Amino acid sequence: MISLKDETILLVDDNIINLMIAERVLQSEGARVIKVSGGMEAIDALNQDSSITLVLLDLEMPDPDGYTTAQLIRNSGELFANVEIVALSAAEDEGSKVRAANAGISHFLHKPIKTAALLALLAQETSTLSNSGDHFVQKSAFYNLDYIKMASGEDPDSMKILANIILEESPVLFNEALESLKYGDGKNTASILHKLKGQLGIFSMTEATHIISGIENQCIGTDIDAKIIESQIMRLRDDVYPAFEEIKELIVNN
Amino acid sequence: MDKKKPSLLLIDDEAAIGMIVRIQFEKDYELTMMTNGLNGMKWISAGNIPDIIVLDLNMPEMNGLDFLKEVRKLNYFKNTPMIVLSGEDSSAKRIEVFQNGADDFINKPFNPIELRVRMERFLKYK
Repeated sequence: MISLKDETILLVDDNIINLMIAERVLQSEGARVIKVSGGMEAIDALNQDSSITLVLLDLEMPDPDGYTTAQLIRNSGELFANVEIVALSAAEDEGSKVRAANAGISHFLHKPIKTAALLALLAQETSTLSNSGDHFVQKSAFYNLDYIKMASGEDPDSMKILANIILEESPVLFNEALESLKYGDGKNTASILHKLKGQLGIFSMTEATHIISGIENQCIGTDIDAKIIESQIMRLRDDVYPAFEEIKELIVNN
Repeated sequence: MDKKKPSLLLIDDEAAIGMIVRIQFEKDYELTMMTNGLNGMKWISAGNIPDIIVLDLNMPEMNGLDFLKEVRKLNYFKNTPMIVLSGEDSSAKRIEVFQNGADDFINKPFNPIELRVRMERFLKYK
């Protein structure tokens, strides 16, 4: 049985009542809780306390909203790579979920927070991580075919064509990004990676797209470390390719 | 008699996005697809007038922002609805896009139903 004992959880919500309710629920399960009321404070809290493993994030906050806050956390490279972000939202629509996934949010919980739902989610996370020797590799290969199904109007032939485009173009983009890096052209490399991120987003490869965002940021810096960036791109490619094979088997060869 | 389909100009260099738009909108829209802003401008300059334009930002030759600026300089296109599809979502980016003449902004990967509803909202007032 999973418990929240010894977990440090960061609660981010601009509504003080919601913060108090969530704090009470989480503390009763033994968690240590840190409360903040905005996105920028959340980043500060993460910087100050490395024991935070989970962020419960309200999406409907004033600037920066929850989506932007999640992106800020994910764009901090590998610094907060192991922090799980769970969105708390009243929104029910698929668009909000897609947007949340795209912003780097791992899971979506409905408000008001229910302990059972949170515990179930943590149990799922823990079993995933325990199978993995390497967090980066394991999680970046995750994909989900719900979006491509929707985008292709649930038509199997259209889905095959769409999947084929991505499966053929993404390896080209990986190669182009590595090639561009050889010439030290960080801006162009970032632009190619941005395109690649769009492609992987269609397979909902959320973790991979976060990693690309982090690499993109490194590419547009003034003093880029091509060797490190190259190894990150190659590592990501090695992770993503087996997932491509599975997707090919599921969609194209079926 | 059939009502004339509205014309949609999509400017995006990602073939997958082009494919999604084709799958979702080919039935109800007269589609034209261009892979960068320059080709979009050439098509418009040749006398073509779309009812609505959907465009990406990150493209070679002429990017989405430059396309928005150029199109808005043309008197005939002052009121043509333009919707930006972008993989980069931040309030700074949205402000930049709106200041340069876009009417709407949707994140990638986008929900095709959302794009349809947003396009219909603009076309209703045309």
